[in-house]
Amino acid sequence: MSYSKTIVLTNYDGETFVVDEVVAVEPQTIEHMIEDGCANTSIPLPNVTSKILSKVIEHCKKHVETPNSNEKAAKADLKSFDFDFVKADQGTLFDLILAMNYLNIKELLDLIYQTVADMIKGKTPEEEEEMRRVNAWVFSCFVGVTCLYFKSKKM
Amino acid sequence: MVNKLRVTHESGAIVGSNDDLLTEILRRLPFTSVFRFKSVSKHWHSLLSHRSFTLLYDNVPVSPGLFLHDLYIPFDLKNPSPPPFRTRDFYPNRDFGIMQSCNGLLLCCSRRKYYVVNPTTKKFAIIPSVIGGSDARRTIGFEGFMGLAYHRADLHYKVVCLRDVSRYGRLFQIQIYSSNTGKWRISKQSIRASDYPGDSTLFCFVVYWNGAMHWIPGVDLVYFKLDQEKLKMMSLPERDLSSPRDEAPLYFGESGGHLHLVESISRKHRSRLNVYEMLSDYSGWVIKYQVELDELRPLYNNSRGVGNYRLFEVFDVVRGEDEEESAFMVVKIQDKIIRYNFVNKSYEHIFDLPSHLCNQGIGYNNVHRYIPMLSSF
Repeated sequence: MSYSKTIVLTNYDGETFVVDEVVAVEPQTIEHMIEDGCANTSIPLPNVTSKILSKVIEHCKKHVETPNSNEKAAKADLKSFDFDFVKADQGTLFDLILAMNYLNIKELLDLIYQTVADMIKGKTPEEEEEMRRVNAWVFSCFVGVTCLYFKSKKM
Repeated sequence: MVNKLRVTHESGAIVGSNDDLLTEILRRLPFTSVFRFKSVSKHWHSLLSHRSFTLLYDNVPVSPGLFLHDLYIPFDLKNPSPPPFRTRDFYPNRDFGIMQSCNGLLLCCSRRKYYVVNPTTKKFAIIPSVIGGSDARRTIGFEGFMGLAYHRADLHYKVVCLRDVSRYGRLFQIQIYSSNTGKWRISKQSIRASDYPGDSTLFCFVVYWNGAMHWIPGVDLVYFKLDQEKLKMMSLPERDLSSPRDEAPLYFGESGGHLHLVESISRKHRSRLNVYEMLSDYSGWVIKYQVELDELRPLYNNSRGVGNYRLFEVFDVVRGEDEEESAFMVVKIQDKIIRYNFVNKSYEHIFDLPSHLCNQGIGYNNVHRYIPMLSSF
């Protein structure tokens, strides 16, 4: 298999992305599709928006380009890249979870799960009232609506 | 601050309705949040209480701190994650105390009755009296001769009791209690103290590791394999000949699946410590870390005290998941509790002891690691 080959990815909005195969096979799902010969024209990724797909490609590129060495500098560089990568708003993080889960990129998924967990864990609330408020907010994050209880609340 | 966040994306709802994805997020929370979030919704409550979640959560044991009498000492000042109880709960009076910590469970004793406690869920079980009636109970009155064996992969624990059947600590009967059967049983093996020269009262301190109970009664390590019920012996690390072994090691304990022993290199060089690790097939001790106590000299109120046993004690050796970065030792230097990182040799002052504990030896046997665990037993 030559690595100069490119792969076309078509996303949810019908937009196409041309990427090097070596980058495209980072996600296991795409690798399997290529192996199974489903990638002759383009790979449809109907679950992924262009914003998220370009983020995913950016991530795969970085990880492919960084030399696979044990060098401390390279490792630290990748670490700081990942650190910046997950500095996103909550909606994007959830989108990324769904996309990464679909594309099967385990390493990055771990990092995003941890980021969301850190986001919702907050500080240990001292008061019952505060605790209820945090719980309501967490609930709202995972049901997709803002809870009336704290919409009406001045903080 | 909560108000500033915009109405959440619908992808949050998709993640929230997918138990696999939700579990992946929730298992990364600190246990305090896990308890709190049980009241987020009925769905979360059942998810977070389910055995499959608690087993997954407990899979990676992390220890956030130590119990020392009625104090709790967090290892990480930035993230103290206080336990969901007050340490005083264990010490309502002087009679109730922790004897041993083993992979998340505590063996406690109050008025000669023994309890196995999960301090995180506050669940406890009473251990019935050993075989032999009230006579037997009396001989075990001295705290130490009970030991707890618990491995996270098992749902059951065992308690091992060494019962002095000779008087004067010459012959110990071994009794084993299993939470599975709820009964005590006398093992065919017994411990003849004369086979292990030393101080038989040192059988009071026991370490569970690798499916066996370990004691250091004197010059040897004695261990009892629980599955085969076999008693075995092994020598301690070799010492400088000029220093006869007449002292108990500075520290002896388990962490992250490793059995550790800390000793000063020799009587002459008390400020140099070796941290040994036992190979898992018992083929020998290897030096895992070396520590120069002189590095800690600035912490002493006066520098003559470096290496002085009464002023310096090793409380714990903790190995984390990421060994390279997180192996550390918790030591007492006069009134300070210090966390010393083996790898980058940095140290951090994490706790101040109250004055009545400063100038006395405390002993690592009186310090018990806290390991949060959600599973019931």
